[in-house]
Amino acid sequence: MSLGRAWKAGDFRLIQHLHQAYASGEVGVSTVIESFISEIQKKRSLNAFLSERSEPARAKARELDQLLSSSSWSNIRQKLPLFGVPLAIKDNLHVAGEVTTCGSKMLQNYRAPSDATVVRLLQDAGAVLIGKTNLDEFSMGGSGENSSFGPTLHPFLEGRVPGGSSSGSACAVAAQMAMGALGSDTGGSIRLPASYCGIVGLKPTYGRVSRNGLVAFGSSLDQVGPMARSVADLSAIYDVIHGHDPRDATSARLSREQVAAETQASSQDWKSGDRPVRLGVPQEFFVEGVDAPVRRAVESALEHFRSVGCELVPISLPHLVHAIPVYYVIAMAEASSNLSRFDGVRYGTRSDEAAQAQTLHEFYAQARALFGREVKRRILLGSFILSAGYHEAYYRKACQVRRLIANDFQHAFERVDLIVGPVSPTTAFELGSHSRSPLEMYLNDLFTVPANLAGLPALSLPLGSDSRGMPIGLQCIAPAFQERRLLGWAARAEAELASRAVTGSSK
Amino acid sequence: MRPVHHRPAVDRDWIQKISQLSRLSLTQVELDELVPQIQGILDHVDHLRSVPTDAIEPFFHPLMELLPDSPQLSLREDLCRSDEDQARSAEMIQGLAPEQVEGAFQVPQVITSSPSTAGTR
Amino acid sequence: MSAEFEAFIGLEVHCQLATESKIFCSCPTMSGRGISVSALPVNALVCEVCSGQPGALPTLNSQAVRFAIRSGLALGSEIQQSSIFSRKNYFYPDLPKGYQISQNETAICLGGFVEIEREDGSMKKVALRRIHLEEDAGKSVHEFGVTLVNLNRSGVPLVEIVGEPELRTPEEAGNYLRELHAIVTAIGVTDGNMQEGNFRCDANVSVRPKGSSVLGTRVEIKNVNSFRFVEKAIAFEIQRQIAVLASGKAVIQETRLYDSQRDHTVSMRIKEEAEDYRYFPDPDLLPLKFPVAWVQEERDRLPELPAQKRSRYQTDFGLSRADSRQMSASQAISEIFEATVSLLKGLPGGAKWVANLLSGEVSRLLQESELSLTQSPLKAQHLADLGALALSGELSSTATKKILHEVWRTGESVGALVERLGLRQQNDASELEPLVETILKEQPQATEELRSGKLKVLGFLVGMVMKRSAGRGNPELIRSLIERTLDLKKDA
Repeated sequence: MSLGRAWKAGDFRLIQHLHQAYASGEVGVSTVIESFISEIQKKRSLNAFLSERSEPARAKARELDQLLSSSSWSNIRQKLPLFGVPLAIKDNLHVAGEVTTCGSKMLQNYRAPSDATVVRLLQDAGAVLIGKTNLDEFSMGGSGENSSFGPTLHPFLEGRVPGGSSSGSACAVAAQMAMGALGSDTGGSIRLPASYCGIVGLKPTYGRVSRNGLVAFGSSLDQVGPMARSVADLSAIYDVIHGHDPRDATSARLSREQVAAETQASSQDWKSGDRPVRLGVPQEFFVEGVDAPVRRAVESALEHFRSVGCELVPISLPHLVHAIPVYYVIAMAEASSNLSRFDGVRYGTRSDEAAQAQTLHEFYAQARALFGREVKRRILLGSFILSAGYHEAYYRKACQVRRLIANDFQHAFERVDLIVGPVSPTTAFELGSHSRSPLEMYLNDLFTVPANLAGLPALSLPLGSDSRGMPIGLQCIAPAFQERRLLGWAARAEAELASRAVTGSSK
Repeated sequence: MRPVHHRPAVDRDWIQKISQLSRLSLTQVELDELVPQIQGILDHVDHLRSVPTDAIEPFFHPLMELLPDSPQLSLREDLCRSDEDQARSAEMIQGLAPEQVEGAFQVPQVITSSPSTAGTR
Repeated sequence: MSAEFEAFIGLEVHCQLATESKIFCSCPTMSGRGISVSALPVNALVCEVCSGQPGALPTLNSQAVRFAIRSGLALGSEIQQSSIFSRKNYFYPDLPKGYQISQNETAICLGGFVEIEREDGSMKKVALRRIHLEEDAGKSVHEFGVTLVNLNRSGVPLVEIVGEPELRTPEEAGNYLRELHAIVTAIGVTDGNMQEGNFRCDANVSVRPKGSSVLGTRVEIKNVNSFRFVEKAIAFEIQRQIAVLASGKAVIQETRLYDSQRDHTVSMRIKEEAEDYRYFPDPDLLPLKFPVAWVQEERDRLPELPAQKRSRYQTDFGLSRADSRQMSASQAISEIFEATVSLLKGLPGGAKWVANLLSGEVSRLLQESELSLTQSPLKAQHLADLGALALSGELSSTATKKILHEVWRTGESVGALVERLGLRQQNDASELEPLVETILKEQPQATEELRSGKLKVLGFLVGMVMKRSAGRGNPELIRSLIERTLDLKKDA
């Protein structure tokens, strides 16, 4: 099959290319998977993977190769849309019988009893899961530095963070160690690292993708989503993982009308009916504090979109300034409760100190001493926020302002089709630069948390790099359940940006 | 009735108290570090007080807002898994125990009683 | 109770719903399978959800919702079209997630009442605050210096029926609990098994000086799992609080445990140190809304309620209030009672006779054997056959009892037993006369005393003849035979 050619992981830029190679018999799955395994092994210093699944991946590849030799390609392609595609999984998603660490010492040896729904869907679609990726502990962090197993490094910028919390997934995709990956996004954890690493990432509408088997951080904010090198690949993974799951009571079941509207929307990538697509540009996304290169790159891209047929509509999301405190109050409250189950009674590691504790308080304190500082900080604040006497002033108040933020979006979407702006006010910052002040780190999430608060789908699209080679991401937010329109528009935008780069038509 | 809430004085004692509620133990170094950090975060959060929200219903969950007309909570039929699946499930869960005695999860002797209202213990 | 103090009692009743599977997962509850959960291997009924594994999510059991609706309808509550599940956060080894999912104040049923009989026979409506759905916790056993956690009960569906503090005496509290038990078992939402903890109660008791307008400090008593213990625990607690107040001290707000062996309550912990539960809506579960039709469907499933049944028993069968209460105390007893009465086809005195037997000898047998009525071999046909023979005078009461015990032992038919044991009552004077003559000869002293007018010894002689007839002789006939033999005509 491989005819002696030495294949490299980087030879397959897109799933489409890979599938052409499989279809033509140019290459087999095992060969491809082997090239990715060796890429992962070569780049271990990036610390993108917490566990490599070389053996299960090889076994799966052999199984797929057999299928390849016994079935027609069109048959395979129809039944297994991700046939032979090497994908990475964030290590807060369960693979049955394997360790899920969540980047925490607390779960260092925890073997998941069953597959997360998304993991099963990927396996059933023919994907080859080649490893589980590093993350900020329990997804708490925006840089990728806050893992109990060491920071993930930026795939090509020395001394910079890859962004987090899906740091390993972003790094793996950007460094060609996987063709795509799953991340999870509670306040920007897919979009931020995608933006810093120059790849695409999608946070779907809340309820679109099952949370079953995803270790919860903020249950009303968490969504699993795909990360990839192109919008086409992103769509291919999204197609497989979304849908109603009876095992998740917060998984959305759409009415027939909604499904019909969705199918229609997918064909209208650049237009909205007969008129040009209207892009809402919120003034609050272009405030002081946004780095000049980021601002310039986003503005120039928007100008280009206008020149090729989009309408730009200045809008305002007046309550956006409150998004950070609202987000942190709600996320911390939910996290403090979600992380209560890590008490060392039924699973986890038991230290000698815990085993010899004299009181129940002491037992818990010892068992929970395995949490890292950021996690402890958020549990403390979350417990306080929900405590008697403060619940109203903090938790309830934040939920009220959350509605004001959601209302801002609703009003805006009466006038525009999509909302666009930067993903982050900065590009990938230096390792260690925010470690003294958690608040400074939190403020970095200002543009990503609003979509989680309102539950809306949002995507990060690479705009290329600034003069220092730092990737910049464009964020695009759509109305609820309009992933099709969002992906359709993004595919076109991606093509326009590529042709601009080729023709050099940008300023 | 909405009592007026004043920010607690964020000091080591206060953080100590909250850490007990969360069943976390903190070192002296951690405590010292946390005082200014938590003060800073709460200062920032306190900006929310200036937002008028008197007539605003809290937004608790996105799906309640995004799909207001569909059944809000999907319900499960009252069915058990098969006996074999149940046995497998039990075995798997018991296998995760850090310390166990004949299938029971073992912890050091507990002297306080459960605060649960669930009775018969 | 002391004349200067008055008590206020409110009961919170936890009732295990008779669903097949747990409230948020597909683990079995063993309800209705005739297997005691406490007899099962430890941690046999567990899965990812009810053992609190990371990433596992709750999915709500529709039957638990229907049972809660049915409970609310039977108790006159307002059924809420939308209700909310919250997390009650606290740490304890048998609480797997570190929080209990409970509806608390945003419950599926609000309001309602239980009507009870006061000591003077008048009726009293005791208001309910709410009925809410929640999950049970697991069970901890403390032994040999370690604590062992069993999660078989974790996630079993419960309704908590929260009553207002409107009960005033331990007896009222006992009656309230009995009535509530009768209702929830009649409507089939629970098996009501108190030994297994499937129907259990916490009591809030406060005492204040009479005429005071401020409520006293509330003390919660836990772990009371029988009607009698509830009454005794509350009686003890009221006296304890009165003694505290009378000595000029203040009652401390706390939780106490009832120790039935020593008949007192002991402090569990002081409330000030208690948990701050940090309630908030569970983001894993959206507000509970169910199809509107369910309310009507559950209303249609409501059987006759105990109160209606009692009044029917009184008017249709002429039972006393006490008997009608006993015969409607559980679904099982009212079923066998009614089936027997119907088999007796209006035989005069039939209903009363069945009621006496069920509340007397049968209930003794049940207690001794620790069986439930449905588990026992006794069927309505047995009772009806016994009743027909007893009421027609063909079986003496001693023989009736004897046959009942044999039925209990063997399950044989009454007809076969009567023949096998030869217990049909001897109503033939010609067969009893020789026995009477023999006894009178054997007991010359008693016979003489009787002749001289000491009528007291008549009973003794009747008894002697009965014994000689192996319990088969009709005592009325024997009496008149003795009188006739000795020529003791009353009117002579």
